Amino acid sequence: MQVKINGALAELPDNCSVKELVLARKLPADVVIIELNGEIINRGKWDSVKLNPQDSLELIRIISGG
Amino acid sequence: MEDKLDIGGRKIDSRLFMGTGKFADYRLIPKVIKASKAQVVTVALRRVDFGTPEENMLTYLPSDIILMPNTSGARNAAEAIRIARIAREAGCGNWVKIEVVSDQKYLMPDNFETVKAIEVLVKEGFVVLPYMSPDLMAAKRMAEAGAAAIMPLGAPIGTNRGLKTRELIQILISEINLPIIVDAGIGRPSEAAEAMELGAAAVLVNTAVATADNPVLMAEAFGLAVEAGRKAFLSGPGSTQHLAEASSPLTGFLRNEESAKP
Repeated sequence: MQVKINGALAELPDNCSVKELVLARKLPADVVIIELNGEIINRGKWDSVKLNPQDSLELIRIISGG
Repeated sequence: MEDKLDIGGRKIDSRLFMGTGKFADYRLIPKVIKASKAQVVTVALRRVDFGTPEENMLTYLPSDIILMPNTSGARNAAEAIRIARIAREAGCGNWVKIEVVSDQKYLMPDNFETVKAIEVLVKEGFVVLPYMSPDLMAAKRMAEAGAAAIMPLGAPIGTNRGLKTRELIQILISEINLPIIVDAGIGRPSEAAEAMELGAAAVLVNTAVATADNPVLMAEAFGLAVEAGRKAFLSGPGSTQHLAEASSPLTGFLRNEESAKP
């Protein structure tokens, strides 16, 4: 299925969970924050939340700044 | 004499807030924080870059530091609110520096959108510190909306030009019953001291330290300057005058003059 990750189209296996995406992309799980269709997905729900075609994800992290 | 800065009920010893951007290496950041004695530091949020994996910068910060995520990148209130919520979810605590900028040339903050963001975020329990263009009426609106402090710019972000808005900041210090924290533009420790002497509650610096040849030494210099400026403010400086007034007696023994008093 196709979803949008940080504005770019991406191909993911059907029925992929948020957690599976984090593992597949080797994301730093302790620092990444995930927004699904504008809603923040609490870390505790990463396993249970399944992605759907056309979903829009924002993967965000903390960096240095002034 | 106890002289702590109170922001949203939190008592802070250091009146120097430190930005963490623009450092050549994250490893400099803990050294800079230690040298400056800063207890509040800013961080930012960005999209994950899949191409270049970055280190987790939070591991470079002392565990007792107060994090102040900024909403840099927000062009309106809605975007600032969204970033603030994400920052809290990320474990940054409930402090937020509202920064709404849609002007790309001078990066001047949008006071109108900032007020709107404060109104929403204060209701959600955030301690909100707005970065703003020093205007009295805007600062009043921000205070009414529940801001915990007001952070006027001294000069445009990253310019190192100093306290160009001095007169306007002085008005805020005089009229707004909240800590006034000078944010942006301060390029030299002397300018930080000047802001503190005026009665600013704190200053926030980043570029001035990060772009110095020796950031750690500059951080220490800023820490000392802020402390000196604060003590000068508290001590109540004497008045200025045009004509000289001798600090030592001018009547003396070198010439054959009569002493003023026997």
